[in-house]
Amino acid sequence: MTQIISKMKSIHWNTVMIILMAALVAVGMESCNKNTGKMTRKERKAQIEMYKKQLTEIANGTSKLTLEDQEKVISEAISKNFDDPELNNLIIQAQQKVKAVNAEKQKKEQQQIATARAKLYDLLVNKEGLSADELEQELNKIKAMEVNDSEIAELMGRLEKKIADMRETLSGGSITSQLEKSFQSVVDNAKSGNLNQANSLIQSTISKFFASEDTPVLIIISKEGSIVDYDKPTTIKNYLNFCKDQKANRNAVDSYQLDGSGKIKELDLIKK
Amino acid sequence: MKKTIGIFFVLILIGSGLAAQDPGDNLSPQRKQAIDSLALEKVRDLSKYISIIGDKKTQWSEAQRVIERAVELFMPNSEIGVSSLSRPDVSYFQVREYFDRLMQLNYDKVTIDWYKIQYVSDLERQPDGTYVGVITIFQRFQGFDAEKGLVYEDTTKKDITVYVKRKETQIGGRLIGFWDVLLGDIRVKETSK
Amino acid sequence: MITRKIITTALVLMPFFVFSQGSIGSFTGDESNLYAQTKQVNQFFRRFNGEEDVTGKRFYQGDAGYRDIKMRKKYLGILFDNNGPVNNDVRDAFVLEVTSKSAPRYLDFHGDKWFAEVNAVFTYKKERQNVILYLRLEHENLGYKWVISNVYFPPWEQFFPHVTDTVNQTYFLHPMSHELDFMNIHKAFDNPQNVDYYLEKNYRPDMLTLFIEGVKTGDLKFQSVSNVKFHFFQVPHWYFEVSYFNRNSMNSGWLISNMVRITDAEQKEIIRNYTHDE
Repeated sequence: MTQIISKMKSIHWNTVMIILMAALVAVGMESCNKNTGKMTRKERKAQIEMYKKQLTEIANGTSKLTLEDQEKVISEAISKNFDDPELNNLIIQAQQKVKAVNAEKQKKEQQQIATARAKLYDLLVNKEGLSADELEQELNKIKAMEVNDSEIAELMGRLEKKIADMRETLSGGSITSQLEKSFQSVVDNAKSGNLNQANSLIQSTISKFFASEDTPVLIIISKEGSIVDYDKPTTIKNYLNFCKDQKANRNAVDSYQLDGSGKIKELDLIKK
Repeated sequence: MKKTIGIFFVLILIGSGLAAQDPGDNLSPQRKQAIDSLALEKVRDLSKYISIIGDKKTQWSEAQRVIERAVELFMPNSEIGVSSLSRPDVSYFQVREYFDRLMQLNYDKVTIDWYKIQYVSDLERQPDGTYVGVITIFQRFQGFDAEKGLVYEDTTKKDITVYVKRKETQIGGRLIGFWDVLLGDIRVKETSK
Repeated sequence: MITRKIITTALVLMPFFVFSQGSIGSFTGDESNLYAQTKQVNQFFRRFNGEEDVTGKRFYQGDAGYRDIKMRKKYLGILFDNNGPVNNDVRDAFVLEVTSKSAPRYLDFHGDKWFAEVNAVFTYKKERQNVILYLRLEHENLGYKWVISNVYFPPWEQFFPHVTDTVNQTYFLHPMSHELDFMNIHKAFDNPQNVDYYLEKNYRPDMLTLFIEGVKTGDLKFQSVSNVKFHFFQVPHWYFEVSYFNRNSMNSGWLISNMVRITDAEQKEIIRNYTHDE
């Protein structure tokens, strides 16, 4: 017993305490480290294998990931800094592959843009004298290429306008000018006493341009800031008959709204 | 302090009243001008209709159709009060009756002209808020006989009541504010030669 | 005097001659008369106040020319009937006063102290009679309306021949009648023709009430309006009458047909004829 006590007395308890505390700290750190995500050796190994597999597929061109995702995988692998020679080699190969694919894609896009541009200019000039419908067919083909370029978008817009203008010109002028010509014809016939002709013109104007004879017509008498004053709303039939009776058309076309079939469903006039 | 609060509340009430004002109140001179022009147009429309109705060349069915258009310009129960130099008593006619009589005048030919001058009164508000005004125009009437030529001529002053009311309606989903202009009583007085 | 008035009118209205000469085709010689004519009472107000130009174009507050004194001085002269009883001195004094720089006077359409006098034809118990209706503008709700303020019908004056009598010595109730419970009051009614001796001395017959009763019972039936004139008391110490002159001349339309300078007491007395206001 005395020996045990003297043995115990001979131990440097300070040192033992320090060693114990260091051990405790080490254990604590390990459990802390586990909470902050630092990998174990096993996990690290598994991850390296996973990245190797993915990078191999990328380098071979057999990856099913999108180009963007492939780039993501590569940058993730780099950021992990596994310091594995084989992995590092695969990273380089994958990078080179992705770079090559990108270059090819850009080249293809540039070619598409160039093709679309040339085609659009040809269509705008329309040396072959294509009809509005044929132009529209060609335009739709270009649209299907889904070329993403601001210049192409602008050219397509111009072509659309050209097609619309062609169609209007074919039918004899803009809707506004055609309407005003029709109204004036009704008035001129009424002035000359050709009431039957005036009535016939009224009917044909309504059926050609308007959704129905009851299409509302609004006449603006004054605009002051946000306050717009109108005359009492009427219908196109009543308005045309009024022009005939009065032998005068005192209003100009201000704006109109079209329905799905391209007929006027609402007409706004303004005092001349 | 109470007085200050009182004044403050009054100002708020006045302000809110002003903010909530109908666009038909406090018409600017430009809007008044536009409404005057609109009212004058209705009077011009009436003048045109009268010329067609009185014209002997107008077919009966066409005259009837135009009478309908002319009657639509008026408020219901509007009357035309007529006097002449030889008959100063005022005779009253319903609008449709007046047009029927005009159509049936016993001349071979009739010409109806309108002097260029017109006079538009201010628009005054009646108790229900409707604006009312009077437009004065002058008409020359000539009646011809096939053989004798000009057999009757007169110049009449026509004072025409015009009612103007601001209304709202929905057109294609839009709320439209419009001025409904209707004609009312007309005083017809022969002018001295 | 008439020559001076004609010359003045012609000079003032010279722009009308120029206007008609400048327009080709649409105008006849009568057009200038029509422009010069004060065609509406509304135009009378505007011309009086200097709120429109020679062509009838409206001036609004803030416009150059709105209520311009010089223009008013020019215009006011042509608003008088040149053939009427208003002499130059009266006219000139009036124009001077209403165009004074310190206290110009304007007519207010919505103001009081102006009345319409309507000469109308009714049948009274089936006989054609002239009735004078007095009307004034009254504010109601969002606007205004004309209302009948009084009536004058001569046949009813026969019912009140004694109302202003103060000399009669026979037909009265003595001052102690109250002590006998007014048993003698039957004397007022024994002879119906004398009942109006027994009314207070300031009593004025209310013809408007009689008129309403006559219309409602059917005794009075409207036939027609003969003519209309207007009475103005809006300019202090002045009364004037406006009538319509239907003649083929530049001096036509609604014009001042009479004008008198009056005191406040006189004005009050005259206005009593047109309205029941005290």
